[in-house]
Amino acid sequence: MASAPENEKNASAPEKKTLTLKSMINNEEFVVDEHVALQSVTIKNMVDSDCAGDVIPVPTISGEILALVIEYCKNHANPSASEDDLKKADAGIVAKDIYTLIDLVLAANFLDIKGLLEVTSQKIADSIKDLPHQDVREIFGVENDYTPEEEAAVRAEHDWAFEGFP
Amino acid sequence: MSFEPPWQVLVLVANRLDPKTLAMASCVSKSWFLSMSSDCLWQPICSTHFPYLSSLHFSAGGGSTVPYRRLYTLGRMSSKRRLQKPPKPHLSLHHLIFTVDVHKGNSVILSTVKPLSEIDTDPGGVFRFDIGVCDVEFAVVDMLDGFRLTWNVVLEGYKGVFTMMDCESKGGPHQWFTEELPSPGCCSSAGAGSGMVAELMLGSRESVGRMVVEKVNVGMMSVLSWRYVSIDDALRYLQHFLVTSWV
Repeated sequence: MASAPENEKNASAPEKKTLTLKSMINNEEFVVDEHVALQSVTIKNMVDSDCAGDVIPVPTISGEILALVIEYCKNHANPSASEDDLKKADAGIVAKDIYTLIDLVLAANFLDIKGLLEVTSQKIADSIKDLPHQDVREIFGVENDYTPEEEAAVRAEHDWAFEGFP
Repeated sequence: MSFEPPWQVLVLVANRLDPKTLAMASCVSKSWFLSMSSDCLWQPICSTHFPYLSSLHFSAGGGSTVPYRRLYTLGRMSSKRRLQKPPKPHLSLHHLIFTVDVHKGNSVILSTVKPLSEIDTDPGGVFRFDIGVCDVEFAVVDMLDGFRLTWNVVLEGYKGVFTMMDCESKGGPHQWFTEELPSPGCCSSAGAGSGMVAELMLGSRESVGRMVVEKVNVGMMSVLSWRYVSIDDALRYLQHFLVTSWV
């Protein structure tokens, strides 16, 4: 790898700080370089105000999602990654089913990682773009709590948007 | 399976939706409606697309304000109305008959009557017709000191007649004539023209001091684009003059 010598240099540096993130949902732990984890504004604030112990507990985020978040942070902490590389890597991370995306967007929101929040919510937005409400219901598995009359009324109010749909 | 995405997710996603998708997503469920119809979302959309609507929002008076989502709908309707296509004309070509007269004083040089049902329409769908006439001969000298040319459109059953062109040739062997058409308007545009002209061409050849007219071309042109107008536009124009006398 081209970046190997640099890694060696880093390895010989006196102490390289790491943080341990722990999912409180399934107690999975992740050891992460500090500069990678600090992309989360939430974690940075904890570290800055000395609230962070050796292990930082992350509530409501599963290990599976946390792994994705860390993957994103690692990619974006790599100074030699080109914009194109990052775009491709981001696209890979958000190529998930809608339920994973929802968990991911909540995680990005909680951990306050702006870039991840943007790509994930944009991906969800893209998945329902120009789709009529019936399709959106199906995608999200949302229950329709309108009565037929209510639905007809709200649909009539937005009739202009349904041009081209039956 | 029933699943409701948390409202934070809806709010985060809603910020990235276009107006059309937002409107459709409002119909998903009651909680989706609340997330997708908030003024925070629609206000920037309104001020981008229809700045005047945002001012309308505040000038509503009585302390009551209209949701921006509704204002956006209003804005869409108003801009769409501008693009509204004119209705199909109720006249059609086979209702019409063309007459073309070329005369000089009391003597008729050429007189032809042609129902449009007997003329091929232009392949481009424009109002331009080739009226074949059996070779009409007259002396070139007749053309030199002026003659009068009239093109009328008659509505079948003599229910109406409209003069497209009535002009005097000052002399010279002209073969191309145009005359401005009057404004059809719903407005009294005194002095302002219709922006359209009637055009007439005599297709002729000369043979030993005689002029032989082989065909007559007529059409309606827009002076803005110098193109022939479409058949539908011409019919809408003509029906204004012909159908009023039809009733």
